[in-house]
Amino acid sequence: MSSPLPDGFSDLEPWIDWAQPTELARNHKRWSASMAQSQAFYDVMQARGADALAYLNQFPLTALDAPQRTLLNMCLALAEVAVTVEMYGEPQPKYVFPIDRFVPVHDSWPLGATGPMMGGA
Amino acid sequence: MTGTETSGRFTARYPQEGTGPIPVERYTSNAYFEQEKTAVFRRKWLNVGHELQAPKPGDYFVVQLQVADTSILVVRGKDGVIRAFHNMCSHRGAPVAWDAQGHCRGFLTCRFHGWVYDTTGKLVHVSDAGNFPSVRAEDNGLAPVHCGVWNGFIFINLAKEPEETLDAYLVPVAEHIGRYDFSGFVPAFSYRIDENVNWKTLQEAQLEGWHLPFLHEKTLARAVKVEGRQYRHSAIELHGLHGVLGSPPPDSFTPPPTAMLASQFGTGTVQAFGTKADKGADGYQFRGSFDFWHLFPNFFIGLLDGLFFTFNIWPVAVDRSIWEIKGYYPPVSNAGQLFAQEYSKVGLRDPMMEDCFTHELMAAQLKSGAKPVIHFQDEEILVRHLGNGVDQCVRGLA
Ligand code: FES
Ligand SMILES: [Fe+2]
Repeated sequence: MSSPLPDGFSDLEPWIDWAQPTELARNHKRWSASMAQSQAFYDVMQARGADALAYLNQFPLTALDAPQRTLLNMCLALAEVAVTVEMYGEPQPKYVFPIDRFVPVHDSWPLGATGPMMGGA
Repeated sequence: MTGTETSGRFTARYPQEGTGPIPVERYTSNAYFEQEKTAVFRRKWLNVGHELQAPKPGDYFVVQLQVADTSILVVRGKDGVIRAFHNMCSHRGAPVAWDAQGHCRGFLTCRFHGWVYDTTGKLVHVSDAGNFPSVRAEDNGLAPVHCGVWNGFIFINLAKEPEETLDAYLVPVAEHIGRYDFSGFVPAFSYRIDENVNWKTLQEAQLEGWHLPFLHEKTLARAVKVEGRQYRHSAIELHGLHGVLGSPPPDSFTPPPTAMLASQFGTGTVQAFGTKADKGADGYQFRGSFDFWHLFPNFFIGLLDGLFFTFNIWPVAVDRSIWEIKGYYPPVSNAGQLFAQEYSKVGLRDPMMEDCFTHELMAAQLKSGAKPVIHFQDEEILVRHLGNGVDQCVRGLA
């Protein structure tokens, strides 16, 4: 079986369930994680995020293969978990509207979005 | 209007706005809402989107306008011109465009019985024409809606004959907002929230920053200047029915680690809240670290350094509204830039989710009748200005 992450990033495999493909899914992951899980993922991404992004930056965004996409999605999940760790100090803050009703319409847009998907020219 | 005078700086500058309490009825009365529909939404210029939503000839999108019992088709013609029509086939009233957005090769075909319109709204094909002897194609094009584009923003006016041109409508703000360089941005995010709240309540948290140290204590508060526990706008200006507020930059801003990581790879939060580069004599003059422009009655343009975003707030009923949020960033080409954009976006999103949490609770409680009025202070003068503007429309004065 081929490895789920690019060469050199297999140390991130224990956190691979954070690699969700949409903002909605990444936010769900953020809200369903415990504080300990959030802190552990946050810490590892603080340590490895810069390496991961520098590695991914060698390739055009639209040409990433599946392991690279997984690594990218882990980086994007850092943007979510950072709120847990740096802002709220808890994964399920009270008094926040649920994302299921705060619909990220752009989840259906192409990667590196240039706006709503349009049909062929 | 009743109420005591304050020594507030904005109230002193704009005494015509008054200082008195605001009747809750404006948020809960069906009769008042019906008046708003006619006196505001069927008369004023309304933003329905941005040219970037239909960049190529043949691109179109559809905006549901429950407030006017219609849906609007916005289409870029073969000639490059943006036009708006009621999205309604002349045969029996089916929608002409059935998808929220799409592309056509110059013609839109009704899926019900196949009548065909070109991108200028002309009826160019009547299926089974021989069986419609009384239908003249030239009399049965799509029903046009007045439409204009300013700096890429698409506006419509539902009046038979608008009382003023779009340019005249925007005169009070055009010289200011128009200085912002809107070139080089692409759509980067879009949220849609369907809320059980009056359309004015929904807008009001975006019309004052005074709540930031309270409601956004954990999120945004660190990115603004707070004196004691009070937030003082760096500016509030009223421009006709429109207005702007500027948010005071903090004395010092220590970006959290993830913001620093993001700033290594792209622009977003750190740059947006940092000191503004001098844009020169003709450039946009920031009032604060970010400026919220409100265009009456229901449109916002939020300007930051390196990104801008818009809000469209669409009433559905007196107690239901749709909030559309759209963000525009420079195009991203690599993972690092996408990460920086994602971090910046989430930082804008979460405080708005905190705003949303209050909307439905407030709306539900306003209905109780427990209180006949609510109150706005000096720092909330832009909120008052919206309500005053609407009320003047309803009373035939604006
Ligand atoms: S309703 Fe459109 S062709 Fe019949
Ligand atoms: Fe807010």
